[in-house]
Amino acid sequence: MKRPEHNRQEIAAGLVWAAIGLAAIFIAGDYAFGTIVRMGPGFVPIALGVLLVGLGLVAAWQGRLAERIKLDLRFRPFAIIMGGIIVWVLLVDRAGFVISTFALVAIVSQAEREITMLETVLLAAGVTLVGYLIFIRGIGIPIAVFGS
Amino acid sequence: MDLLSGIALGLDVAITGEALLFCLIGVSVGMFIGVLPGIGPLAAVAMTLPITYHLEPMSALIMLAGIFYGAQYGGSTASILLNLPGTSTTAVTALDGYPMAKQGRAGVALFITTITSFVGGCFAIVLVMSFAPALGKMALKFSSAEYFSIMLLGLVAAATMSLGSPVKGLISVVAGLLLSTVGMDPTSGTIRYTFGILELQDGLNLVAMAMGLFGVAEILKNAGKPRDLAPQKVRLRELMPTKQDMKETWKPTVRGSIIGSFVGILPGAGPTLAAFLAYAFEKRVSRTPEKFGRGAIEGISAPEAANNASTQAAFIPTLSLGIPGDAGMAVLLGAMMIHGITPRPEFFTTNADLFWGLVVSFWIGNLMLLVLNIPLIGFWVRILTVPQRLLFPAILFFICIGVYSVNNSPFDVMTVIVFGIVGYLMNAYGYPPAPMLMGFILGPMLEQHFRRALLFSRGDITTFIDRPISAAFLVLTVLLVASIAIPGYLARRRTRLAED
Repeated sequence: MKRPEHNRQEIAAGLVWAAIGLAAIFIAGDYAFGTIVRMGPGFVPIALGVLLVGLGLVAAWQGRLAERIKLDLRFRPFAIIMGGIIVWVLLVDRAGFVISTFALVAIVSQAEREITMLETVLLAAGVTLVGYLIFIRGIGIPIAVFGS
Repeated sequence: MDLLSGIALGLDVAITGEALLFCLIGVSVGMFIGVLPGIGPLAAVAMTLPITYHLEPMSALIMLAGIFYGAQYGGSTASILLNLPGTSTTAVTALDGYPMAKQGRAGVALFITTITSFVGGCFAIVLVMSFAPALGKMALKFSSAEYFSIMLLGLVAAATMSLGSPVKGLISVVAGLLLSTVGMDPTSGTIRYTFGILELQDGLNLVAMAMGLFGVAEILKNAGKPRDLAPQKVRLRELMPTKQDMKETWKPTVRGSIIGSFVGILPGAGPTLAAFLAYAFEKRVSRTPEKFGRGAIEGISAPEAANNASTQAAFIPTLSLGIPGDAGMAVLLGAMMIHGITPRPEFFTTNADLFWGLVVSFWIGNLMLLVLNIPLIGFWVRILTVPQRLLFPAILFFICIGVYSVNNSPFDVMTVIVFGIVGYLMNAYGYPPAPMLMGFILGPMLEQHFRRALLFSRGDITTFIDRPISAAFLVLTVLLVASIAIPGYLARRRTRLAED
């Protein structure tokens, strides 16, 4: 049997976890460690950090021979969806519920290529209306409808 | 309080106009969200949690619980008709459900899963009623050492019994525990891991984290992926199973209910494991194992009974110990805490009306699901045909507004984005995000009990093994780790020997 070549992605993922653990230990160095009887706020975080470093290294070690994962990272929908949410957050306190929600739906719906212009507008208007009825009228969430 | 007077009290609470209404809303919404492919009970509860903020705790709990088990019911529909399981829990149902649908027996499959879900759910509810208060009474004697050990068992179970690599599951749990330390340490008042961000002083927001990890991450996984959505057709007159079907169904249903209830009671083991175990068990005892995977009716009835039984039985550790069975239950527990209800052993005496009302509402809810489901199968099928491109922008809106409305905080929505990315990457690399959420929710309690136990024992670490109940939990934890590590080690050694 031929040995599979090292799986870099799995190894990298394990090492990233170990690095996070190291960072956690490093930062927690500033918190009082205490004694085993009277643990300070740093005790548990450092213990968890050590665990994470250990487990991350084990994962990297185990991952070196794991079957190569086919990473399914698609940038376009990812960027569109994240962008849409960010736009909503930025707009909601400034432009109010209607504009921010319309923008959110109009943007994120572009993540699917088949959507038509008409569908986008109708969907954005529909979600905005239903959202207004449920959350502003119904529940009474304190968000301005228009403007701040 | 004995069982009968408990039920009587529960009926008093649960059969009021308001309770019935919120139960109905809960199960219908849960069913609706559960039917949508790709969204499971966990995301359903997280998404609807903000809507319940303005309700009485009792109504809110009834509704959230209804959403939770309703979504479990609904999940099987997408599995059977589209071969597109909403969650790993219903993936098992697709194994035989989808072949049945292709043979033109979709109606029968849906009918059977509805009935067996009902039977499994009811079976487990009886167990909740009889065992939860007893366990609560026992737990009154628990000290910090016992709590620490049982939580450790739950977390290790959640990490190692999920599908995939146990090491990755453990990493997920530890990362969740670390995330739970963000904010102010309640013992010393020290601010930890906030990087100077004011909003982090109270810790990360549970709802935001759950929505990111399960809502946004799921959408990211599916968005932009072309897929062919043509559910198998169902006609009403095809719903009725034959006598032969019923005969083949009832025994697996009973076995599935028992397996599911047992798994549900274990902290850390959720409906996914229950469904897989029940399926594997049926395949083993079957006289015709070759039929499995080609539309065997036992292959849908046992796992469906099991996953609903475990969903209900998981309320036993959740309500009596405050230790959730799986990530979905963890979110529900978080929801209870937001409503000012902290499940603990005293819960059964101090909040008897709440406990019995809730449990009786499970029964009513299950009955509603049965009634809703069968005549409306056509309607649920039609929901499946709504194109995904119209659904997910609406879901994203619900996520944004829902998280925002918790604290009127834009920061919480940014948290969703961060955890959306984290969840997406974790999924891509095969790290299960559910144990992370378990770790996050149990983290503060785990740390408190750990520190307190060692304070009481004056730093003597043997306190965890000197106390018999605590020792038993730790032994179980060790056995669990060993049962996973040792076979893997042996298998690796064997292949290495074979290669040499």
